[in-house]
Amino acid sequence: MRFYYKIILAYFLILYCFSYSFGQNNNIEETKFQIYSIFIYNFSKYIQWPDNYNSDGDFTIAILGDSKIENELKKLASIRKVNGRNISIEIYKSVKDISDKGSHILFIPSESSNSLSEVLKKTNGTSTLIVTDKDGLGKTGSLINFVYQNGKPTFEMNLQALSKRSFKYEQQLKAIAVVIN
Amino acid sequence: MIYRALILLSLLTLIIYPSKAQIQLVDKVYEFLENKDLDKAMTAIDLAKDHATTKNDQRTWYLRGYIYKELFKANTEKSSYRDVAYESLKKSISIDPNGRYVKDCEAVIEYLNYTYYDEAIVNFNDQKHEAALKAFEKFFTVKVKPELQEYVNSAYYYAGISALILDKSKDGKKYLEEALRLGFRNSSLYTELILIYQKEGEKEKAKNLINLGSKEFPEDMSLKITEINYFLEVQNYPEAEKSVELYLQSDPNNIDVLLVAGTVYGRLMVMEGVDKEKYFQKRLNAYKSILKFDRENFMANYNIGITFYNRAVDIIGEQTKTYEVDIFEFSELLNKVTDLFKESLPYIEKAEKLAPKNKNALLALEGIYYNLNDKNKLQEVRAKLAKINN
Repeated sequence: MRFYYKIILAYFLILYCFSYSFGQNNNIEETKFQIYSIFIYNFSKYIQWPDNYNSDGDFTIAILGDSKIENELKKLASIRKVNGRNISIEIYKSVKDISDKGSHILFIPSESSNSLSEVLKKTNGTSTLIVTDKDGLGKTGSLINFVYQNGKPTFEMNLQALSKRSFKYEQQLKAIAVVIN
Repeated sequence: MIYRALILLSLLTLIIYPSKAQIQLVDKVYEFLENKDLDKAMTAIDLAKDHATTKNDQRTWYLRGYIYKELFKANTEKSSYRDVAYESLKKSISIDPNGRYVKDCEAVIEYLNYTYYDEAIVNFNDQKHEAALKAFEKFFTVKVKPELQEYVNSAYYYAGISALILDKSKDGKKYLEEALRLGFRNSSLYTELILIYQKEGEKEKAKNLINLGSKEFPEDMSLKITEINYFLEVQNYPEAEKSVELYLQSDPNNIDVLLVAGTVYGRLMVMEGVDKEKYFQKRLNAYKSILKFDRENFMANYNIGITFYNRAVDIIGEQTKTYEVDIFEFSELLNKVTDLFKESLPYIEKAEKLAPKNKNALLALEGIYYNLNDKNKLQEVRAKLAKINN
């Protein structure tokens, strides 16, 4: 019998996969839309609608066309209220679907930006807060327009357009916005 | 051939005179053995085992067993010699009512038994695992003296390893468990068994072995790594953190373990009720330690970038759990988030430079440019991604 022998060991070293997946989600737009939905909810707190404007029922946030912001806004609607009112989310496939009664907020995603002038026309006479997402739209009549400054998301406030639709707003809001007179 | 024929002729002359044949044939066998002439001894004993006067003699069969054992010893490749030896010795014992040759037979049998062990070990060391396993399995069927039990115990371990290498995981598990049961102790026995249990989802058994193994081999690095893997597998990140940090105390520059540490801190970061900022920093530090001695490490660069990126994403995600954040506070948070995206950028750009076709690096770049609203760069990276996807 041999008492000495060499041993060849089969090492099963680290089996664990080291790579850590990119992001916590696969949808790169998700963070942007989360930011927008937080802003939109805050607009409902810092902007005042005329007293008699759609004062019954839910606080309505509408979206023009398909947009992934829908999921975020629905999540918001499921957990928050505006002045004790439930939030309801409406989707308008096209401008002609926009209710004559008007919504409290209408978000126009960048893909539907070309419809801005049509939307302004259609909602003229209502206090619908038009919120857009494309460079330059703040100067062309959008009431609030999301923009980026040095990579930071923020928003433009078109003061004239806001007052034309009888909106009042907390002065502090202007402090963090890019103001367009 | 002629030589062998002459031996046969001279031996046959002995058989012509039956009265003397038995003694003379056997004496001849002894003589041949003394002269170390195994061929002649074999021929003589093979004649004797068929001759009427010697075929029922226990001594004939004992001698045959002994001679074939010697033949096998001289030529271990020829296992048929060993088989004949076994067969002859067993026959001798069976026709020896007074037990005259039993002890001698048993001694030779015992020797033969151990040749299976030797054969197995030689094959194991030569990485001939098929042959090794076969010999180990033969060895398991024989009786071994209690004082040599430790060789049986180790044989089960090596047989288990051979079986695993041959992808016979069921046998591998069976032999390793037997080795453990018999008291064989070796850190890699624990490692292998823990991996098997993990693979088979036997979490409780894996956990028990980790506890036992860590107590017996507290300094063993491969066992530590197995332990870390186990905790990651069962998503017990606080324990994984302890293990990984203990490991890094003795081997602080181990890139693989530093990467695992980063993963562990990353998992802890997304757990409820933990100090996210603390784990964010620990994660960054783990990856940055790698860059201190390997600046070109893709995984470290990529993971630092991802750590910054994910932190930014998480900060926003946290706010949407309640939407309670005030717009002014939120604006401040957005400064921080933007900085995090910006901090992630050079690391991911470096990773992309190191591995230009790595899809994950390009996807990460796409995410950063998107969130920083850098439309030109976004377009460039999307063009690269499109090329890869095509």
